[in-house]
Amino acid sequence: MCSPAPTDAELLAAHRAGDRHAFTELTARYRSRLWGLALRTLHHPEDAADAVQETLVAAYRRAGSYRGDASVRTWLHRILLNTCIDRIRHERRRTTVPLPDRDLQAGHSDLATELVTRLAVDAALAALPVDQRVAVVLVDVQGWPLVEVAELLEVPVGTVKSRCARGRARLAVLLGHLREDHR
Amino acid sequence: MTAELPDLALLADLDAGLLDPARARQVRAAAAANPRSAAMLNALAGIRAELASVPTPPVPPEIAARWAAALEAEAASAGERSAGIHPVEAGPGPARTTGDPAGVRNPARPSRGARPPHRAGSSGPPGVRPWPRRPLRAAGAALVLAALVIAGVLWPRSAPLPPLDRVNLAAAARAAIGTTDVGELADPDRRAGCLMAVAPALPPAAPLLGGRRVELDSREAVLLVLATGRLGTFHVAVVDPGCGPAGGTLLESAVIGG
Repeated sequence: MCSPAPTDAELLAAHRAGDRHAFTELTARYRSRLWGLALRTLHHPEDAADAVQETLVAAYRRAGSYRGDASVRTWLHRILLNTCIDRIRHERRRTTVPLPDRDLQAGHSDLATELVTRLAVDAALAALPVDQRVAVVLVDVQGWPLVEVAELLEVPVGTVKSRCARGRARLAVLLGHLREDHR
Repeated sequence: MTAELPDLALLADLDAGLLDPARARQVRAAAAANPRSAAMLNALAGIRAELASVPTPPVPPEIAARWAAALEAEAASAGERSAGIHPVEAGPGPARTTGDPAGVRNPARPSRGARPPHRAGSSGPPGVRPWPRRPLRAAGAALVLAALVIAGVLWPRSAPLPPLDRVNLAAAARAAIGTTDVGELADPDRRAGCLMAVAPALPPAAPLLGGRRVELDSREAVLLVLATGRLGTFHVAVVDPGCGPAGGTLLESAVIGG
């Protein structure tokens, strides 16, 4: 009864053909993940928002150059990572946004615990070298297959594994799972 | 069995599947015989589990609206350049190399001629940013809001429904694009039945671009943003949450953009 949803490649092709709705539908599929990756790579909401915006506009403009060598998802995330890496390289700005003082009232212990945990993880990720951070976020946080991450980063699978291994080892110390003298 | 005591780096390699089978067996056996090594392996497994449980942060509405506006501006700009054709051109996107427009550069490798990043308040390269910049002074407030939203402080799961103001319907609709918190109306058949029942002027099978539960006139409602087939133009309908083929209530409808 209902036709299957168009694939990413079909939507991109439709966009190139002049379908003025296709690109919106395509990017709606990945907007949250792009945002999550940008936020955890740059650790600054303002920069992350700019990076995703630049990515969306660049993808809109460059749709005609998409050759299909990689999936549309990989292509979109590659543009985003380029943008993020540019920003990191030029600014070295990895500050986190301080949260205002806020009373976490009784009855909100779950929320408080979740918030503290999330902030701790994000802060620990921010302390990793960018190549390890990106690999860990893609593989462990976003659940990308290793092969696809290797394709996205244009490095061997072993390199992705190695970056993840180094990153996890550091995180284990930073997040208190291990003491520093375990290293 | 080796007397070697595996260190954290070696155990992390084991955990990541980097060791060949023979070496992996050797290290695993050594680790099993040593409580400290076993604790390290457990810690690495715990880290992976902790990372996997980190949620994807929601896109703050004001940022989503900004992106939508940027794409609308780009579409308008592209429409001026050509009738529906999107040319490949250098632009304010990420720096790239010729022939590999989306190639990832190694972050450890310096690039030549990389584009300086855009900064709030900076003038940037002249004439290359056709989309709206974020407000300079408002950015601080937006940052705090974004941080709180990201952290789940402002909009925890139990948060009351956001009130919808008819005056700002267009902005709310744009901000809802990409969000699909529409309850039972996520079911295409139910949504189509609802629209046929309460808004026959709207195409019932129009793709849902986004939507969220809201409060309008002190009653719970669902904001639906539907595709019109024209970029930047959307059908917006606000219906009651129980709306379906059997009927419902249309609280508001509009066409925005265009």
